[in-house]
Amino acid sequence: MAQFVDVSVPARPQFLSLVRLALGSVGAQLDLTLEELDDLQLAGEELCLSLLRRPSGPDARLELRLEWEGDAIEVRCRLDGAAARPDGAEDEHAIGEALSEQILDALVDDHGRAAEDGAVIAWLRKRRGERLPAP
Amino acid sequence: MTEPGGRAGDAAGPTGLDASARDRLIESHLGLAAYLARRYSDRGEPPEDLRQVASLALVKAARRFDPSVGVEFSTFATRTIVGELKHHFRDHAWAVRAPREVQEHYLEVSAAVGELSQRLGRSPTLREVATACSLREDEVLVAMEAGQGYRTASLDAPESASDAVLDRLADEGDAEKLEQRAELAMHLRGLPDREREIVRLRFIEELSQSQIAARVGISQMHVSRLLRRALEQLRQAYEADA
Repeated sequence: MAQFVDVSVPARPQFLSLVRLALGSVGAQLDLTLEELDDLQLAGEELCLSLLRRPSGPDARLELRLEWEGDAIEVRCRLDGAAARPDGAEDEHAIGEALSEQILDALVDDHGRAAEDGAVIAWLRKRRGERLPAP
Repeated sequence: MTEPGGRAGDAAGPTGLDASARDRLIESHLGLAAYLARRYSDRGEPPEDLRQVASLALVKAARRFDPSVGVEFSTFATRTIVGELKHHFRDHAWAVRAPREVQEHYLEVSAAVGELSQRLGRSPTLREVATACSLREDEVLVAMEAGQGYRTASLDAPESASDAVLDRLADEGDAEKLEQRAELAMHLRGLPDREREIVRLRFIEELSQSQIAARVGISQMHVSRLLRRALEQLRQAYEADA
């Protein structure tokens, strides 16, 4: 059965250290290696930053759900209070878009964006790699 | 008189060593100082700085050595040198000051990760590191988070252009990503050579941190720190550009 952790922080970069720690704790539940854990934290941080680059009000919040089951984790990040396009389409030229895409392509198995109830959602999925047990 | 490496108790006392005896003691233990400095050499500090710290600590140990205590000089000197090296890291190698306990945890974790990676032939898990260090998993996480504030000297190095790397970057991969890669290549110009190469290897060639560490000749944790700092710079460059 899937388990999850919800994290809610003000939509400001200085709170991303809390997100990294939460990702670290959840990643440890999957018995990720430190390298995989680091990739997950980098990717989670990038996911949040990709939303924080969008214009939003001073009370905007990042709502994250970290959900894991078996050897896989999904992170969904929702920015409430951001100015989403009314047609739900993504702005292809958002600041740093290319960088975020490049980083997430390399670090996780799958990632994407969507608009949901007027909020912007970014998500990623990552699986634990195969490895031999410790000798 | 205590001969180098000899048992304490053969000499006249803490102030009983004359200058020439102290010099002999120092001279015969310079190898020990160099060895201990090397043990700390992969943690982001210039090796020559560490050798200097270790050598000065050796001189300090020779001055303070009390043969009447019955401890070998090599043991006493090792404690002194390791203590001074740890102080050096606490005082000089942290861009963001972390509590002493956390800094010490980070040094323990860093050493354990190196040893475990070698023994296991892969990156260790958080649990394996916590067990090796007799720390809780959350203590390891906090130490590693704090370790991101650990100064990486190479980032202070002056920039230099390496256009061959950038040209290769822009030329690689499928056509649909060309614009994305070209934009990244442009911003990579602001990074020092080594950081630029590490970003390219991780995000373009998609090598793992361990593979990059082996190729560049530094630890995986050092690669992690350099990547984070390089990404920080890149993000700022993108935002400034926008």
